[in-house]
Amino acid sequence: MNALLGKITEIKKLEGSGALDVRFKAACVLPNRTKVPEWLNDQVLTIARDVPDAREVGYPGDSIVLTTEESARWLYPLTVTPDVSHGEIPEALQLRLRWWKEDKGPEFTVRANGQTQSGHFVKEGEDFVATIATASFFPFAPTLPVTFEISCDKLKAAATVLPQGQPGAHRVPLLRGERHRIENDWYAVDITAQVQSGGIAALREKGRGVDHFYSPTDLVQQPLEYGGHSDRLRTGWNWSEKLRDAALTVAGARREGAATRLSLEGVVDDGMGLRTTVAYTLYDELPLLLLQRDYHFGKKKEESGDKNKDEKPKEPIDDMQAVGLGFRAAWKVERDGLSGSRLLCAEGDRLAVIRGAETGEFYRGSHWRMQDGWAVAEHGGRREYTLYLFDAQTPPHLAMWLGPHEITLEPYWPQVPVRPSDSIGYGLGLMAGELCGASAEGAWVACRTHRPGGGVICAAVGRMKNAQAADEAAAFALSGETRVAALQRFLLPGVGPVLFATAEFVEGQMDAPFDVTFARIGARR
Amino acid sequence: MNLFDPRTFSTDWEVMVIDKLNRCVGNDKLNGFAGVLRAEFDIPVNTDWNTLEFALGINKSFAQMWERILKVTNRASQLVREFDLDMFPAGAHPTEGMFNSSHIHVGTLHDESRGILVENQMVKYAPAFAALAANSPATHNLRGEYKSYRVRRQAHGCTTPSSFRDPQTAQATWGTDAGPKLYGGPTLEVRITDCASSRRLLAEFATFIAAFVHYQGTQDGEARLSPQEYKDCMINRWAAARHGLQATFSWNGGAKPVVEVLDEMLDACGAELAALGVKRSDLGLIETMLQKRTCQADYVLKLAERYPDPYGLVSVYSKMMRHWDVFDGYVESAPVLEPRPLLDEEAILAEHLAVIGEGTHFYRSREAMYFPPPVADEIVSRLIEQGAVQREVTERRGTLLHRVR
Repeated sequence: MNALLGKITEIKKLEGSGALDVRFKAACVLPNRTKVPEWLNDQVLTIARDVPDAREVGYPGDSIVLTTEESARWLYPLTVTPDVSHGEIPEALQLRLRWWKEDKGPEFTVRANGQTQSGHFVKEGEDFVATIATASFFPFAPTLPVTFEISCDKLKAAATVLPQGQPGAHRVPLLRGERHRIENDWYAVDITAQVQSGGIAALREKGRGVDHFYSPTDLVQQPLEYGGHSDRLRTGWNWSEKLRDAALTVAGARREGAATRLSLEGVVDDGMGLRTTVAYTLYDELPLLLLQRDYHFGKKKEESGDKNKDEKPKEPIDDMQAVGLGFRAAWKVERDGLSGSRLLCAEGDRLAVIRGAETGEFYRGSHWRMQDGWAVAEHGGRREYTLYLFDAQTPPHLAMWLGPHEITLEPYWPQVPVRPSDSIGYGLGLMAGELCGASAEGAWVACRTHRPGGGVICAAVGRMKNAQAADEAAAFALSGETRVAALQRFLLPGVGPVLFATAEFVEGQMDAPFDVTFARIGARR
Repeated sequence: MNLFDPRTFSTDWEVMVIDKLNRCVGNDKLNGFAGVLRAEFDIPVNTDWNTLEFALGINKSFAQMWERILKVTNRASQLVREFDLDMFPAGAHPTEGMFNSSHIHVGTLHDESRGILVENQMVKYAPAFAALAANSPATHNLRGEYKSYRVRRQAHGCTTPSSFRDPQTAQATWGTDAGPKLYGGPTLEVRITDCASSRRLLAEFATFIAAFVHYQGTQDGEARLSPQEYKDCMINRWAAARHGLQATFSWNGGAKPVVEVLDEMLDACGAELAALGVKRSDLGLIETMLQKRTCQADYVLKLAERYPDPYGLVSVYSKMMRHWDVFDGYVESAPVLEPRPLLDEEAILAEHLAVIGEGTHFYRSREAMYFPPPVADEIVSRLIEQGAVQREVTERRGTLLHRVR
C-alpha cells in the first residue's frame, strides 16, 4: 500500500486540546517516493496530530508521513461502488468524493456506451456523494464487459461489469491501480502491468472467495511485497530494481482453444537493450495458470556521444552478461515454528520441508535443486496451498524468506552467459487450492468451485515421479459421496507433464466436508 | 602495571543523515561533509555504510571528549542543514538494514600480546556494555523482539563474541566485541556498543568504558574462563540484546541484574575515571539509566507503540533524534522497569527450540545464543531426548533439525 509523505507548511495548536493542526503539501508517495498525483499539486492539506511531544511532528519544512488509511482520501479521493460486478449492470452507482480542494462540490461526468451524463456532488458529512442511475446508458441488455468511466476534474474512477461465468481476460481499473483480470470458473487472477513487469497481484479462488495473494492494507509496502508473484532477473549480486519498477503494456488478450491468454510486453532497461514479455494462460476447465516469461537482450546503447573519443578495443567477453533468473512469491505467513507456513518439495528420495522459525530467517538451498520440478507453499491453518511447477529438466534452487508479515518462495536459476540478441526465460505452472498432498513421489493441490448449473465441481492437479497416468486415479469425497476419476496427463508448454482429474457433484455444497486422495501421494493433514 | 599509557580514548560514532524525503544519504555524498569536518577539526571523520563516522581523535579527559562531541556535531548539523538534511543518530533504521555503532577506542596500547589478554578479560564484561548501549529495537521492518537487534544479529558480522586467544598462537582479528587493534591507532576497540542517540550518553559511556578498560589494564594475571563461565558470558550477551538494562546476568555462579554488574564496574574503575577527569557522580545519565533500568531502546519502543508502520516510525524517530538530547529528558521521567529473570536451563532450551522449525539447518542452533559447538550440540541432544526435535542427516542439505512438538 502507498502512503503520502508531505512537507509541513504550518503547525497550529488546536484550541481546547493538545492536538496539532498540521498543514502540509504532498511531496511524494511512499514507499518508492514517486511523484504525487497531479490533483495534489500545490494543494495545502491538513491533518491532526495528537502527540505527547510536539517535536514528533517537527517544524515547517519538515516531512510528515501519513498512514495508508490517512493517505487514502487524498491518493484515491474518488470512489465508486460497486467498482466491479458480474453478470448484470447494477441499477445505480454510488459515487463518493472523500476530498476536494474547495468547499463546493465539483461537477462529475459519467461515460458509458458513448453517452455522457454530468451532475454535481452534494455534501454528506466530510465527503461529497452522488448516485447515478445506469438504466439510461443501456436501453438494451449489453454484451459484457462494459465500463462506466467517471471523471471529476483530474480524478478518474471506473465501474466495470464483467460477464458472469465466462472465461476471459478484461481490463479492470481499480482504486489502487489498473489490473488485468483473467477468469475461469475456478479463479480470478489479477495481473498488474504498471509495476513488477507484470506480476500477479491477486489469485482468488472463486469457490471459497479466498485470495491466496492477500496483502495487508494498513502497511506501507512495495507492490507484491507481502502477497503476490513477481519475476526476477539479476546481472550482478542483486535482483534488478528496473525489472521491479518496469511497467508493461498489454500486447493482446485472446481466447485460444479452451484457454484465455493474456500477453504483456515492455522495455525493462533501454540502456541495456533489455525487453521482456510475459504471457499468462488460464485453462477453462482446470484451476491451472501457466506463466511464460522471456527476456530479450539487444545491443547496449553507446554510453558516450563523443565520436572523437578513441574507442577501446573489444573482446567477445565485453558484450557478455552473466544473467540469473528467479521469481518471488509471497504469502501472508502463519507464524509458528511448530505448525506455521512451510514450503515443500522433493529432494531425491526425500520430501524436503522448510519451515522457518525466526523472523528474518533466510534459507538458500544452493547445493541442491528442485529436480522433480515442483514446490508447494502450505498454510495449513487457513487451508491454503499453492503448487508451483517448473521444468524438471532445468530445475531452480530453493530459497525462502520469513519476513515479519510474509513467507516467500524465491526459486532461482544459476546465472548463464548472455550475448546481445539472446533470449532467456522460463515457464511456470501455478495452482492454488484448499487441499494438498506431497511426498517424495510428487505433489498435488485440489480445489472446488460452483458448478455451472448448480452443485460443485472439484479438481486436483499435480505432478508425480514415473507416473503412468492411466494407472493412477484420484478420489474426491464431498458430503459423504465419493467419485473416482482416472488421472489424465497434460503437457504444459515449457513446464512439462501435469496430472489432473476432475469430478462433479450435482448436489454438492461448497460448505460440505471435502477430501481428496491422489494416486500414491498422501494428503497433508 | 599500567598497560595503557598514555591513557586516551575516542569513538567511531556512526550517524545516519536523512533528507526531507526520509532517504538516508549515501557515502558518496557524505564523504564531502566528512572532508569538511576533517579539515575544520583536524580529526579523522570518515564514512561507513550510509553514515558519517565521527572518529573523534585522541581524547584524554571526559571534558575534552564532551566538548569535542558538542562542537563536531553542532557543526555537522549546521553543515548538513545547508542541504535540508538532518543527523539521525540511531543504532538501526526501521526500514533499512544498516546497524550503527559507537565503537569505543581505548588507548594507548603498544603491547598486543597483553592486549589479547585484556580481550579475554573483556569477554565477561562486554555484554554489560551492550546492555547499557542497547539502541536498535527496530530494524528492517522488525521490531520489539530485542532491544539490540544489532548485537543479536552480530551487526552483520561486525561485532562477534571473542574466542579466547593465546598470544603465542594468535593472528590479527577484526570485528570482535572487544579486542586490540594495533594495525590502526594503537587501541583496544570495544565494538559491541550500539550507536548512541544521546550525545551526553556517548560522552559518559565512552569515558566509562575507557576507564574500565584502563582498569583491566592494571590487573595482573590471565583471565581463563571455564566452559561454563564462557557459556554464562554468551547467556549474558543474549540477555543484554533481548532485555537491555532489564537483563539479569549469570555472574560468578549466581544471578545478578546487569545494573548491579555495571554498578560494580563503575566502582571498580573509580581511579581510572579520576584519571580521565571525572567522578562517577558526574556520569548522571548513566546513573539514572541504572536506577530506572532504562536504555535508549526503551524510548524507541515506546515511540514505536504509537507508530506501527515502519515508514511512519522513521519520520518521527528521525525528527526526535536530531535533537540529540531527547533520551536524556525521557529517562528522567521514565518509570522504573522491572528486571527480567535470569535465563534458566528450561528457558535456554526454549530459546534454542524457538529457532528450530522444520528442515532447519543444524547450524541455526549455534546462532540461537552463540554457544560453542559442544554446548550447542548438547542442547540439541537434550531437545532430541525430550522428543521436541528430530535430527536428519541428508547428503546434500547437511544435518537438519525438525521441531516435532
